[in-house]
Amino acid sequence: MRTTRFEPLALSLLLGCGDSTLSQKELAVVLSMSPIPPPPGSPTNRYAEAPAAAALGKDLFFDKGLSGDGSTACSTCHDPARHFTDGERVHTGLGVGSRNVPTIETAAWQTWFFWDGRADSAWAQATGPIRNPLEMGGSAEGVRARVIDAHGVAWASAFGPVPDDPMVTLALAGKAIEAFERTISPGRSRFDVFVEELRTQGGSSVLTEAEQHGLEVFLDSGCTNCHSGPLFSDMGFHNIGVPQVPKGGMDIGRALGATRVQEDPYNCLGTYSDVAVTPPNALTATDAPGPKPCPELRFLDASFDDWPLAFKTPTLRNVALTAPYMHDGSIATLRGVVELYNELPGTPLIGHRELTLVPLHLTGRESDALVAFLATLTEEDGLDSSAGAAP
Amino acid sequence: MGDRYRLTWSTDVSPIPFNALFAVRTVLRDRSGAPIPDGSVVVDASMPQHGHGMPTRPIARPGVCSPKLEPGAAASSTLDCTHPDGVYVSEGMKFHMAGEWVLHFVVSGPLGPDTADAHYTL
Repeated sequence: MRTTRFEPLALSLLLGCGDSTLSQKELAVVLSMSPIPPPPGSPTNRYAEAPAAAALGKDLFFDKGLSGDGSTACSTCHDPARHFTDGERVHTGLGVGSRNVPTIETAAWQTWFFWDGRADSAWAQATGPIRNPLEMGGSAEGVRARVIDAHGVAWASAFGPVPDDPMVTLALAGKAIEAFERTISPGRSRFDVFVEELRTQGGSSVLTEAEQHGLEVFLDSGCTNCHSGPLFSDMGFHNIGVPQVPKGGMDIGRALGATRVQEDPYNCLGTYSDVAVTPPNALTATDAPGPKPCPELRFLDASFDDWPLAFKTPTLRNVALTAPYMHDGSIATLRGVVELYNELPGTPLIGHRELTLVPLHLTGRESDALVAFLATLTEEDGLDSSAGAAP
Repeated sequence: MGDRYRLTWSTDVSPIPFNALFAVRTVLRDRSGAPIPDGSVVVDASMPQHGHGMPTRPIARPGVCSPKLEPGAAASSTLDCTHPDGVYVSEGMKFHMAGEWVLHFVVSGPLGPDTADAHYTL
């Protein structure tokens, strides 16, 4: 049996057929990846932690009646049985989209939503697919009519009367869905047990030799530059040079998403947000201390040079069960993803690939080990069924 | 920095956090050490090895401001701002990747323009 230990004075990772030792720096990185902390608050949604809103949100999440033709629900693509993905290359609702369905298991921790970050809250995100003609094809007016017809009691419990303004109603529906999504999280994995034993016992043999080797490859290969923290994502946007075949126009990712989120009426600074925003008044400008609302949105640089073809770093939690991969679902297997990083073929059509990326040229054994390690991020206890099961 | 000013800087969170917003507090003085309240300090940062800067656009706090007094005018829409003790604050900094960062300070003030760089490893 192979055991990983950390050595207080070790300066480098010692590789070998026997035990493995993590340096202090590597140990710090590994410890930063588990456990998953409680999610941050959702200041734009005053109902984010309200059980009545979460109960309503669950009903809405599974309700096909919110779609334009009654055929599609949020859960059609975000299938709880597939860790809230759909297993397809790209999303298919009322039409066929161009992007892969990301999991919502980590929605409560995210800052930006969609692959291009064009929403800045989970509730604002939820209102997007409902109205997208290629997804649910619904409307704010349709959602208002549906909640009156089918969700009156749950709605009244969560929010009181249904507002007259459909845009307000849709925003509240989104806030209920967010409250439901915040009850979902990736479950505990063998990696979490491994880290806990490292922390409490100074060593662990929970992972197989191949999985420990894969962890070493993960740490040595620069994967943590982006896949960092307990969700294995920096929640940022990077151009990694996924080969693109323009079809119906190039998908420029964050370069458009950053602008769209600034213009979104449902953003943090918008009138539907529950953040108290004081209108700017130059005559009261001051260095007065204290938090100001919506810092991520206010300081966002929509013209950042690296945004073209940049897409959000996906979580690696449960990644072994959420194929296919990449923003366009173009890679069917995790081994295929590793091969992309091994070769980094071609050059991006615009912008440039993240300069920290160099072809890994891993051996077959190393590549297999890396894939084996990624599978240790799969939750142990199956789906969080109490949250995700259909009503 | 050139020989016009003395500049010291600190952050509101120490050490600088990974992938989270923080603010830079700069103190600007002349060569004798006297604070300069009527200048400006613009702060930016980049990763030379990565060829990019930050995904945010920092904003300098205006300082302590009051309506500008204009002879004959009942009210003013412009401000007079000052930075007591030579303290300038830029908010909205974010180091979104680990590695070598360089903070860039662009100073203007009564002694003329100047620039300075400071290196930081995250």
